Amino acid sequence: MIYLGIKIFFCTCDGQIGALPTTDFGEDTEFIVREKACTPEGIGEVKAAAAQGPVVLAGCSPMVAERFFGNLPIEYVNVREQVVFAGHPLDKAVDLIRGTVAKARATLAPVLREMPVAAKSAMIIGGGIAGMEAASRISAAGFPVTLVEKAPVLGGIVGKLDRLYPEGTPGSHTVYHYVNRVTADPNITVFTNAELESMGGQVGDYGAKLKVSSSSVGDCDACGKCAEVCPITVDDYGIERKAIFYGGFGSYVVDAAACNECGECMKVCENVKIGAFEEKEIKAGAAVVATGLKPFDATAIKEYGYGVYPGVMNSIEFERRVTAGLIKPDKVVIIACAGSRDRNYLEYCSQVCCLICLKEAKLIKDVNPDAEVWVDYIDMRCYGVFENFYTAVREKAGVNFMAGRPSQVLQREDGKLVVRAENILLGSSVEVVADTVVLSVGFVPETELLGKLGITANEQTGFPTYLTDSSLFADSNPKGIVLAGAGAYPKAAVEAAREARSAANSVVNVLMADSVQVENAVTQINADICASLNCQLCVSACPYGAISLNGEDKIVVAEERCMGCGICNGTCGAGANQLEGQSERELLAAITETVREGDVLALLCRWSAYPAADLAGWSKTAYPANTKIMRIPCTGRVTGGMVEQALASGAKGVLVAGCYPDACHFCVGNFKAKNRLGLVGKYLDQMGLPGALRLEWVGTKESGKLTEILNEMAGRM
Amino acid sequence: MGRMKFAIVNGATCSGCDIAILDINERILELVELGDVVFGPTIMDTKYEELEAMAPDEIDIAFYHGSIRNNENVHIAKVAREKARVLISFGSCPSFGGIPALANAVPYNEMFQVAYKDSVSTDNPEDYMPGPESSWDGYELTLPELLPSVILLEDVVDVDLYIPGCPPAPKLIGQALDVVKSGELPPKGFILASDKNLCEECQRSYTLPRRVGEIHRPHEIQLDREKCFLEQGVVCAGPATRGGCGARCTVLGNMPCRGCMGATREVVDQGGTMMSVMATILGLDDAKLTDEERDRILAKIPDPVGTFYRFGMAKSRLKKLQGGAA
Repeated sequence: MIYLGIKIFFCTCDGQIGALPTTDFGEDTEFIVREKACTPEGIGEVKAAAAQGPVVLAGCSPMVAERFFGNLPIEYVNVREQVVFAGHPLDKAVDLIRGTVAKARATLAPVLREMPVAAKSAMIIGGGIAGMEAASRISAAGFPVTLVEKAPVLGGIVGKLDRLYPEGTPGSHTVYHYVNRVTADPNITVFTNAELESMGGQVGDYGAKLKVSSSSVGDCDACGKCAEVCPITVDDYGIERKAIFYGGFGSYVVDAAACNECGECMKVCENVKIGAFEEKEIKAGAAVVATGLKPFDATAIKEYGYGVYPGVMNSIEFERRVTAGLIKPDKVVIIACAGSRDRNYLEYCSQVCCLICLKEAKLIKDVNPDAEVWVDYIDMRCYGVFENFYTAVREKAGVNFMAGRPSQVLQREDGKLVVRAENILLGSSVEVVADTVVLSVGFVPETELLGKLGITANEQTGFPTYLTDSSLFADSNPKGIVLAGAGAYPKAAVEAAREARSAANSVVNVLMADSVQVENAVTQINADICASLNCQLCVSACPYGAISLNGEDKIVVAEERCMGCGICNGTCGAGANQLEGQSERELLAAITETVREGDVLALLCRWSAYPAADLAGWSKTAYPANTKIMRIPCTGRVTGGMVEQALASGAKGVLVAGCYPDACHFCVGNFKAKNRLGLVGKYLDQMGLPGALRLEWVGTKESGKLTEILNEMAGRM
Repeated sequence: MGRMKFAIVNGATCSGCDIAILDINERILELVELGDVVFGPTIMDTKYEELEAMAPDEIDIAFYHGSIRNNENVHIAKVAREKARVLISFGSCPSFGGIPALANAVPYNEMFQVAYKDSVSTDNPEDYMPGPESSWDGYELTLPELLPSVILLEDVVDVDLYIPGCPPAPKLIGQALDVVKSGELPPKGFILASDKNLCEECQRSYTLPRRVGEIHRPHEIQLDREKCFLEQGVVCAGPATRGGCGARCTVLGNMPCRGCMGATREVVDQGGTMMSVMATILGLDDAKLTDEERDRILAKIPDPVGTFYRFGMAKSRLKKLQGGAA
């Protein structure tokens, strides 16, 4: 592109903004005054200019103006809300425009990224409730779907259960319905006994390598001879079965992961075929990850004797054994939160286990009304309408509840189990004798696959960071890989299905388009100065796993995954990571030109403190005119260099304000800011500038708090 | 090509750079073959007058090392610029400030107060304060006048080439020799070093994700020779420092990088950048790091200026605030 100079559009917002004291912003600029830039003509004119070269638009707040110009690389100057409404002289607007023009001169031009949607098909990983629901919905929209399931049968963990909470509805209500619909759909190709090996490409054109078993069972008359001769026994969530077994949906199936390919079954039935795993490659424009979860391994909780005493089992094993008639318990203790909300095991709450507890308690009473059932809990967390379920089980079903986490489970010589606990409501220690102890354990994700897909996991839970769920981030880039169901976090079957529909919607939106665009500016990496394999600091710092080492020697940004937070800018010591539109050069240039002697520079996070500053304008809450506000993507974008530049340019104070801890739009940006500015603050103390830098948390509506801080900072000087 | 003329000109220096030029093993013979050192106070008997008497551009290459601390340094830098066709900013001092520039962190008067009165090793019963002109014991004394703060060679004169390092590595001096022999000079302002940061050359091992749980001073722990210093909780300026030195300190010396090669071309402020890098990976878990814990860890960096700006203080953008008007 030929540099045509910078066009400055000065919108008076229908006369709300008066004339500037000067309109000379340098020889390479053109100053254009418009009464109202948000008319169709005005929008067209600004858009046309932006397509040709750098454009600065001075007028209303970008929080308003952006709706007219989308993701065009326009530099906004907030004259209306933060100068005129704030009651400040228009000289300030001149400084702000000057700074923005300097920024535009230094612009690292964003590239308009179009990713063609070449593969008009979807891949679903995981054939549980969520995966099957997503597959059906995407197929219904007319796109072919490949469904990949690791197990020999569809159904996921729900398929292993007898019933679902709250009412104890048979799981088959849901599962058979889904399995039949998916199996009968000619638009859906199902691979069972199949695993994802690797996935490459990008949104619109993914290439997946699968490992699919070639074993199969043809017409089956349920004679069961194959299972009789099979030498392999598998513990399938509490029930022993063979590697070839009745899979529950009208046929015996081969568990290829367990099968040793001895071929005994083929000798007794000509319809059985046993073969090795084969590689398969498929294309997909978008994918749903619905990999579900698995119960926490309770052997880690030594004091409960899981795996030592036969009468101790987890809730899924218990349900399967009871409903299979393998056990007929008369006295059961259910330990809720077994290992959950416990620093030694799982710190988080899996949110479904309380309800599973209630379901199992009711199940026992359904099967054997005379059975004595105890639930030992810390808190019963029965959210929303599930409170009714809790009440029903407690009051109608005659289940006993005791507050207190058991300390130990022991086995007496007669084989009975003794559960020791403290009833914390009565303050007394209690020993309950039972024949069966059910550990209502929490759930953990299938992490291996997430790694293959490059999806980052939450440090505390191991469940994926919710980057790909567009409902959480309105600004998010086109996501080709969407999470759904309990693989994202433990949830009820009905909730998993609901989420799957939303995921299917995201996928269909991608597949319907000819191409998708990266919505926000992304980070570019300068390979000339990047130490790649020998550093990888930015790989660790990215909250979205968008940065990775490609092969041996190149750090790359997955543009569809980069959310534009700018955290990595401050992480690269070489300055190789630069966020488009927010690169260090641009921001330093803007700061240098904006700040005048004695100013306070406020670097405000666009998600919280910046709207608060706008609100201060609208509500006429006064703050000093020498406050210069700059909009930053996140407090995590702020570097020591920016603070120093502001002070060197004459600022008497620098305020960095953003979202409260744990509430960062980009997960960890404000934590990074806290660390960085803490260290920079120490440096400033040493340089004789104590208190010149402040980091504050300001909510969107907290204009009062913001102006109080700004007044305080001005007063201090 | 006739014999070339070299000059080794120094400002406020420790003369380590003189030694570095001589300490290039057998390649010193190539230097001698190429030409003569016609000015170099540390290695030969030469006087300023001799340099001042030379014709403009008479010297082919002048190496300037040492900081610009006083008006004598400014004067000789200007003379060197006039007499030399090519002026090289040699070492960290003229390029980024170097060790003398650490004094920029305190106001001018305070620096004097500490140096001549307060320091525990000072014995100055008469409160004698040296100045440009003073009398002592019946003598009238003159001294070069100190500048309010240490500035860069490029603040005083045009610089053609930079060879960073404290002192520059023999490898880089050898490369400079090659450049001189080839007769093809790089573009003005070129920095003779790597474009990438030091990590590229250091290649110590690390695990992902990269975090620092505790900060240790190098003397407090047994330093692992294989593991990245940051991994061991030792502040290492490598990520924010230009490579090219061959990672002598980290690889051979088993000591962390202190940043003498300056910042890469995309970074203006080396110290501020390194602080950001260090702080980014601080604490094992972002969300769990409490304020108390952060303060406790950061207390292990009692001297951010000396730690992050050891060689780059004169490049810090806060220099306007340092010691009054520069």
